[in-house]
Amino acid sequence: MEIYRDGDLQAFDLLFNRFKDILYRYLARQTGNFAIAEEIFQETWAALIKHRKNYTVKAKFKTYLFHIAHNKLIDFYRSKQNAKSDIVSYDEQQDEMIVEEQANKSIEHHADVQSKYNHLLTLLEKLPAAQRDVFLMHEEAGMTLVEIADVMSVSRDTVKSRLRYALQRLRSGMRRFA
Amino acid sequence: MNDKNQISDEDIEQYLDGDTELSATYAEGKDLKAPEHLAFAIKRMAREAQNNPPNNERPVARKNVWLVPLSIAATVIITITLVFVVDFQNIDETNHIAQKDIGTTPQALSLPEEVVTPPQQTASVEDSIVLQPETQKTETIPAIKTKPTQQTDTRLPRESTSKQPAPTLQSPAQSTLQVAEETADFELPPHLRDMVQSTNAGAQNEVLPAEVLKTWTRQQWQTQVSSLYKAGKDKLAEQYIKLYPEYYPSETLAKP
Repeated sequence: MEIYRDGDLQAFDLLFNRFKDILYRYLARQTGNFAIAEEIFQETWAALIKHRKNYTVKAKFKTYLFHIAHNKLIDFYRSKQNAKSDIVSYDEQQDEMIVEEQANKSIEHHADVQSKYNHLLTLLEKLPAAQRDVFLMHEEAGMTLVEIADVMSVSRDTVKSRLRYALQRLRSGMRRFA
Repeated sequence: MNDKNQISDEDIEQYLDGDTELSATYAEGKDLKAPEHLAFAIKRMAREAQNNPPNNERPVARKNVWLVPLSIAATVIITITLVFVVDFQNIDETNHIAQKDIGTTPQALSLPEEVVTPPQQTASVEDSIVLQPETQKTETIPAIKTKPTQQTDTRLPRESTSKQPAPTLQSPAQSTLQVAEETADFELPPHLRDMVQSTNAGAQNEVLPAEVLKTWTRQQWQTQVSSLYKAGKDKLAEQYIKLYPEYYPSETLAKP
């Protein structure tokens, strides 16, 4: 990124090719909507290009990129919170019972046609956005708890707690599917 | 939630190491890739940004372009405003001082420049005064060309012994009045004449020197006393009445 900041366009191509699929999958799984994912994907890279001159090395480029994407996602959730009833507030901790009920309904509806992977995606969609975020950042970008905490601007313990809840619900849902 | 679903710290560590069924299941969907058209659009965006300056620099450049004209305009406006304000203040102060000085001290009485001209330049003053009735330039010049009865200059040297009033003994107003008496043949409007008379008399606080009084005619004595009474300076007027027989023996000056 430093080389790109200093004017080397090939460095950007290298970075883009390395992270484009990871970022795209993260956004697609997080939003559950390919059109929205594409929009945020484009906005993220546009912001990176626009502010390239201000880039300073504070962490890995991956953390910097996901920090931008995370902020764009927050903006998206805030703007759509009132418009769409199925998208809850990003920071909202949904009631565990409600989440479990939704997961069970999903299983009953899709069990006969969906594979194990699709069932996992369905469970993922039902997770609160903050918990889903932690899970996806680790799965897609291989981030540690500290790196995720940096991206989300929260403490490591908060990230760990969110991951714990996410794993708990996903495992529970997968066990029911089996 | 039952105990089976509880996630311990060890479970989290194990998950973070990647050795879980959950991660394996999720990895099945990693063939999803970013669309090519998006990749192309973003790369093109990067190339265009590289060729053009970043957007966040443009507003700064725009500000710099307008900085100099705005500064000049602001300077011009402030300068014009200050000039007008100072001019109006000067005019107001001049008017205020002029109004205040009328009826106070003769030293502070401001007279037009032509009137204050020294006696040796009387001829030029005369010329200018002769033209006054035709042009009617100001009210202050004709005001002094009325009756030659007022002597307002108290700066006259008392030790002078010359019988004929030396040029320096004549007040500028007096010399001007004499010139006006000889040349001008018009009458001042009554309100202006009263104002000048009362001003000259009111400005006087003591009896004029004998050298001056010797030159006065009877009419001048009468006018002087009348003016002093009008100005409320009764005591000074009485002093003039007492002095009158010294210059015109066997005659008395009646109170107006």
